[in-house]
Amino acid sequence: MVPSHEEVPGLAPEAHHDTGSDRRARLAARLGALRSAVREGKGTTDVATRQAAFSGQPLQEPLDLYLRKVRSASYQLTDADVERLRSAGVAEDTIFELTIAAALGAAERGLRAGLLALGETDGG
Amino acid sequence: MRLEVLEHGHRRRARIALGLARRLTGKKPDEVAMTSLYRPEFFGRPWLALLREVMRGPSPWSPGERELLAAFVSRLNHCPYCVGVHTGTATLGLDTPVTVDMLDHWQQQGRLSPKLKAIFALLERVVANPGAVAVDDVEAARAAGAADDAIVDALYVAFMFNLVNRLANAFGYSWESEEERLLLARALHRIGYRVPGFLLR
Repeated sequence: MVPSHEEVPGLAPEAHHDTGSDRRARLAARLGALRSAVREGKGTTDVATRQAAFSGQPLQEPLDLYLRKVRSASYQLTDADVERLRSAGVAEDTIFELTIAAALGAAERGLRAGLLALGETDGG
Repeated sequence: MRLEVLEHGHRRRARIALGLARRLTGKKPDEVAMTSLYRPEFFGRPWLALLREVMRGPSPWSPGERELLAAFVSRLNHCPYCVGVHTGTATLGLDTPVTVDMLDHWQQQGRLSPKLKAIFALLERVVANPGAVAVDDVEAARAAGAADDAIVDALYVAFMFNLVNRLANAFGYSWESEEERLLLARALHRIGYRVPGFLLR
């Protein structure tokens, strides 16, 4: 990957005169954009299924077991887990989208817990 | 990688760029980049925008310190791919060796400041048991000299790696050799998560 002209350091407005609250607002806005894209953006999986993957609500097998592993013990996942989904007819784009939704939901739990303990409520 | 679409499913311009990168370096492109360039409107574009802000935007933590936090979280999540790459970038960014052994025995490391150690303790809780994170955990970091801005930034680094570690483990990211691992670390250190915008449209 090579830098593009629009990303030359110094041209990006965020590089200067930053305050903590500006930065927190920008982080929250960018997090919100990521969450919207994954949960509600254009995808091949319906929004309700993506929401379920994100929030950890049960889905049909074999997806459910796979997504539980993504959330809680991703290091245990092997080729066989993905093969099982494929043999059950789950499309690769579905695996792509729901894996990201589940990982995002699990990661957000930690972020929210930390921000809440800090007394922050603007995590997005 | 376990998904064929992440290897070969890219749109034309991303496919050409990835092919070029492969020819120029003689190595497989970074698998986080390959994932980000696949249907970039779904994940890669907003993910990379946040990643650059978190890892290289203005922060109380230097880029090297953020790489160290990234390597630590990756270790807690048992993500060998991210541990390998980010111990490499942390080593380059901090100009001191960052090893798995150091991450595993962080409490005994004299070269980690009390502030960083307090942040490590907080992140350990955030990763292992987010439901149990309490005001006391944050107070301990404050008492060790971490300002709230620094704590917020550390939480965002943990968030990014809590997410990408799961993707790496699920999609089966790997490097082919130690040389490739170091090449990836050097590239990230130098380029700092920038990806040309036209590849993400």
